Amino acid sequence: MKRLLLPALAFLTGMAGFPPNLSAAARPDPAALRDLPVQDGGRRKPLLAFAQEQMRALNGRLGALKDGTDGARIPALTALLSLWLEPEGWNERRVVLVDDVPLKKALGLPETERLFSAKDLIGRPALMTLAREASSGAGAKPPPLARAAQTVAERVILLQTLMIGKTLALAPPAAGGEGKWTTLEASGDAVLVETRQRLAEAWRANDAAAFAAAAATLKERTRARNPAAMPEAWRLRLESLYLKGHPFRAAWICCVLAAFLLAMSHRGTRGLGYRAGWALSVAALLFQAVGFTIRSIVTGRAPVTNMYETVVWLAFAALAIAVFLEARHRARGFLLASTPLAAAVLLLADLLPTALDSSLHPLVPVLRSNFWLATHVITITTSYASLALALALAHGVLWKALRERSRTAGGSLHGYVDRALQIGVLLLAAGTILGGVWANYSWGRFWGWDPKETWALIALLTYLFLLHGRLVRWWAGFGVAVGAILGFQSVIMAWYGVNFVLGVGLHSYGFGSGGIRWALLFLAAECAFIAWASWRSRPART
Amino acid sequence: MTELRHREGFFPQLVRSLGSIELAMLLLGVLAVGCAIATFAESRFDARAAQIWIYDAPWFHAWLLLLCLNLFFATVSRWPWQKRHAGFVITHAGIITLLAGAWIGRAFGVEGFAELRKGEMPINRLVTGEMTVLARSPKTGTVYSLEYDPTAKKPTERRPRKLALPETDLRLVVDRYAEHLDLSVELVPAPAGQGAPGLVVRLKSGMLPQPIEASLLLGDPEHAVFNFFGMGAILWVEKLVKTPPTEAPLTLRLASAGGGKIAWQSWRSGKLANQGVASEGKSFATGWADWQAEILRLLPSAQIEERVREMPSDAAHAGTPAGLRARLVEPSGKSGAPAWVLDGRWRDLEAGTNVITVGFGGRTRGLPFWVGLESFSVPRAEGTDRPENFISTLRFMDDPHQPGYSARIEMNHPAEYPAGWWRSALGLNYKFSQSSWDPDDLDRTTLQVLRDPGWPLKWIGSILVVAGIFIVFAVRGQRADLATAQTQISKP
Repeated sequence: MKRLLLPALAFLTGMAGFPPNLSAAARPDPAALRDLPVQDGGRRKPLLAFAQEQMRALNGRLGALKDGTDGARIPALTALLSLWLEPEGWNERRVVLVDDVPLKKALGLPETERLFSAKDLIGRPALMTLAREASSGAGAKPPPLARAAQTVAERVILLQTLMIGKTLALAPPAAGGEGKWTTLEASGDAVLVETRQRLAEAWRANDAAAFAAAAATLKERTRARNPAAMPEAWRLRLESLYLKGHPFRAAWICCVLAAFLLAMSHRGTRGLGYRAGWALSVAALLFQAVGFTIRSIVTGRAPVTNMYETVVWLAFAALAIAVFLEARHRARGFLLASTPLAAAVLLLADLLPTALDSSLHPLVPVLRSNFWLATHVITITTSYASLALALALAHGVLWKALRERSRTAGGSLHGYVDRALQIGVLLLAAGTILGGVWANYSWGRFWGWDPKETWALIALLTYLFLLHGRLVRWWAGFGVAVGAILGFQSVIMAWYGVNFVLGVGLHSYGFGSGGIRWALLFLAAECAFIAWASWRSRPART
Repeated sequence: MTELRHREGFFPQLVRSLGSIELAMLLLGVLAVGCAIATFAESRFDARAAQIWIYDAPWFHAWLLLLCLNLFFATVSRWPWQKRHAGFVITHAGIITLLAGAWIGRAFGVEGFAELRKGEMPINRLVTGEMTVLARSPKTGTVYSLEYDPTAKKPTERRPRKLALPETDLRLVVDRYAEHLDLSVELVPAPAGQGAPGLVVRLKSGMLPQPIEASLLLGDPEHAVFNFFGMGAILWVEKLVKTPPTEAPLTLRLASAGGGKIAWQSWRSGKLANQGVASEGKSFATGWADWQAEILRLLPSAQIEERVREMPSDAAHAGTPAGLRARLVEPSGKSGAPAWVLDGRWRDLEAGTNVITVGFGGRTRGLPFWVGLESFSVPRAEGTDRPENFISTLRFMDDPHQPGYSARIEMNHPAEYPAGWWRSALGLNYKFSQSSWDPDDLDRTTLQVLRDPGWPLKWIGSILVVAGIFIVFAVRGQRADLATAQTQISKP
């Protein structure tokens, strides 16, 4: 860390200057470079994808860079090109995200601000000291404050590398070569070096025609350098289209509208509002299906390989199960419960781009099996979706009990909770066993008490406990609804907690950090809601 | 015909009690809580702690056995079974079969690790995950496992573990286990008539956070050369020669010049950089940038003594070896000096005139064939160092002198030996899967090896469980079929 931060600090002194004007009219349209291939993170991707990923890592926003200095939102590609082609002044701009409150306190930064300049951060020696602490512990988990400092230090370094274009690997190896791409400057190709210069001049002069000409030369020259190394143009365009189109954002908007219409349509299945809600729910499903299809085509694998993808899959599967059950039983309630659930989950995925990274990354070796991704992961994630649907329906039961002050209120909703629980438990059992079979092939044993495996088993045991309890009449409809809410906490632990709280075991490729306070707050809110509903619906004393 | 559980008598009563759903609830609840505690124990301490306290603890196995009994009696209690019991019976039979498969695999299976290196002799032994204390018989040379794992039951000075040593009337007393030990060598004066000339030298540079210190013993194959990470070497030799050294690009050659003086040469990339004569306590410039050397001690007759120190269990000491402290005790009760035995090493322990060689390390287990590594490669994600796969080619031999059979392993694609689909289906062969690798040594790979005769029961049990749950819910769903819901929907 020190090795990287010191040159960064030295570099900073050379990059001071006046910040560029990035208003739409002040710089050429960068769209000409949107589909330019760049090698990064183990794959070739369009420049737009690279720009969005880098800006998210630096600034914590999806698709744009927010400048804390003036509050401007700069499109990701424009920001990337500005950093690369006119780096002067960027170190004074407040574009580096610092979202950890204890770290802000430790560094003496204002807690209400989230964006700071690199110059300001490098001027605080405590950041270096803490970041060094995080990288010095051999193999052990560093303290949260040190980890937060390390993340911020990495963002400062990222800004510096973007300003010198160090990670912008646009030049493929010369014809016949394979492997690592280089920057234009390091390619040894005089035309590419000169084209980079022309691009910079056109960018600074806001000369759209010259910029388009230089961009065309860059595209042609890089392709001519090694045509075999270039990804198919349609694949790059498709990924750019996906990034511009935001199908999952469209899906949550449809879900919000559908939930509103379904809630407003009162009873019955023939009203216009209900039918419109149905149509919007199906539209949301289709938007998500498009999103998953494009992600699968671009990566060549099933779209359930990280936290982000499993979160959006949960929304998709919960909605799909609800659509199926609502159509099969012609029953009102499944869609009304699933649309706000799907909207909330998709909104979470859209609003937390740093915690739920939507980037398309190459997989770790153990996950490189489409068969097992399509069977084990999809089965288990769909089980979570069904159990989440049961959770949403259970909220409906408790809400009715609360309003009608009776634990028998809820009517048909009790049956719906049961149905969602049954589907969830069946898939959870199948998914857990499929996980064991996959582990037998990948790690050489069926069951090894790995925390992820164990928590999947605990979740299954929790739901079996719930279902068996009803058989002995320890609880009935209201109790099952309470159990569906409490039982889902074991799913959250198996899904999020093992990766983000425990952080041990063989599923290390999915580990992350943060969000514990929100998870606990969710648990507390659920407990409070259950307590409130139970109190309000308590049987009258005779 | 009345179901067994509804009949009178001792046996139906027993079946009712052992197969009761209340007992099932208790068993499920405790299992869930126990497993949850184990995962937090693993996060807070390590996987071994979770195994010792929960997963491998006798109470946990007894609990699973009780669960099997509960499932069995719950199933029997419905006798004679009817069509509506199908899902219930199949699910419970599936869980019992699955657990039976797990126990068979555990009791009769083989699990361990094979560390293979390209170009080395094939092996026919595995290292299991368990540790054990070993002792070599002074009479026959036979190595005995003393069947004691100090990582599972840690010894203390107040409660030491006393182990009988086969073929002797001595006992081995283990009174301490440490997860992290620091091993250092020290030059000490040797008794008269023993030892060889020894030297302690220190190298300093502004580029190093702390100086390098080397203890050298003339003529000792292990301690006459000190090599630091292949970048540099210090040699303690009889006399200096003009031939360039081959040990490392930077080499300091030292020899006695008589009268307490040391003659030295410093070499850089095969060329003499500097030379001179130094005395104890004086620094000299090596000629390699700002590097300075200093002779700290010169002993005419010295020996190397290994020092072992117990280190705290923290991140700074991760990677240091574990070890146990042990001593020999004679039948008279007279005890020898305690000494640390490090993981993977042998050490001679003495008591009176008795000397026993004691070792500590992973328990090994024999294989009925030989296996060697022909090739190992790690394809990377383009433009990065991130592995995409691990590909090993193994050669299996029933006899190490025969050509044998070649098989390839990739991630998610294990190799099996002896080959044959029916052996794989019945779990009667050995399965080799990728386990770990060393990024600094791509000629070496570690494979997980498993022979699991419980495998067919695990398969059958898994299929029965899923099919049974499906039938239970399908039948129940058909019965209820959300009748109330339908009534409600049809009313706008």
